[in-house]
Amino acid sequence: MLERSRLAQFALAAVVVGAAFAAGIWLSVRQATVPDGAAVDGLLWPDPPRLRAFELTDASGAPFTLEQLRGRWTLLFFGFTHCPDVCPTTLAELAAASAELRNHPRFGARGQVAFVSVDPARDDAATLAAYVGYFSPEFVAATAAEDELRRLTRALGALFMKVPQGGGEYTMDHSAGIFYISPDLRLVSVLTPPHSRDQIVRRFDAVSAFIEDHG
Amino acid sequence: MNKLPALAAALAALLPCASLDACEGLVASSGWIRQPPPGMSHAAGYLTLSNEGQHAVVIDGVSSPDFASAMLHETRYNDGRAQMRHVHTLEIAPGEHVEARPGGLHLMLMQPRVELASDVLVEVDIACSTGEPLATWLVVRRTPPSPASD
Repeated sequence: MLERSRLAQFALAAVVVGAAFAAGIWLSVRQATVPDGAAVDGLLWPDPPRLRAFELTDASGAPFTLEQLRGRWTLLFFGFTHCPDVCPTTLAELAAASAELRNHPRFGARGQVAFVSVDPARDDAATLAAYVGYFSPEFVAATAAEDELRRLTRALGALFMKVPQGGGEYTMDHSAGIFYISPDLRLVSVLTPPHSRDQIVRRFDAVSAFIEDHG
Repeated sequence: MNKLPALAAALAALLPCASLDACEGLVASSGWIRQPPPGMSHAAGYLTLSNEGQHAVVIDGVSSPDFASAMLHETRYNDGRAQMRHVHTLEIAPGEHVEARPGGLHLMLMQPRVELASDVLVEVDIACSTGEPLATWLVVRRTPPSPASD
């Protein structure tokens, strides 16, 4: 009887030690395979800025606010339609990237690309609609008066500035990064220019994976 | 000139444009213009400029019969902010080349006088401090040429 009891105790101890050993291995493997924030290139972590309320108007005349960003991934780019080089170049790359991202499980059908014009004086709704529609019918375009635009750009750490060129003409200096906004309205990454489709997709895949696991 | 059939346009775009006197050895190649979205009155042009002469070439202006205004511009990035600036002069040393490409040096072409449909050729004249201007032709494209066709 005593022998059997000792045997049972020994078996129980062996099971406990074995389970602890297995748990230790599992935890160490898990820690080794899940990157921390610093290991994800371009991720704003551990404190990604949370967006504050803003109110723009989209190219159809509807409000474009936090509500249009909530619950979906957004890739946002600032620019203006009189920008001949960096804006069309970036929007063309974004169009190619977003077509690829439609098949991405975290971007899917609800993900969006938003073009925000920092030149409301020249970019009315019809102009914006024609402009972004040329690159992709799925793109959202929006703008607002300067003060309202600055509420958004300040929240994202972006800048824009009017630069006179003589003869009444002007151009706009503007932040040319792509801003990755998570479904819970945090700025989680900024991809710096120049942009390519592959970089845009890779950055999305990396930061969205981290946010989904740890956000 | 602007209504050449597509094949002729493509062939012409592949040919370097140079004459003995044009900017003293400057050769332009791989020229293209990104087709602007509908209603836009400005476009960016890109090309490669090679100095195959014996002396430095100083480009000091561009013009085009197909646009009301043409300038050499450069997009610069300063702390993530894009800044577009007029490039007044550009010097190319003998044997060197300069590539105008998206997101960098480019031709700023405003108020087109022709319809910028795909495959249309437009003329751009490059002025230098010495020699006759170099006439070159850029083909309108919706997307950039692939690296293999540069």
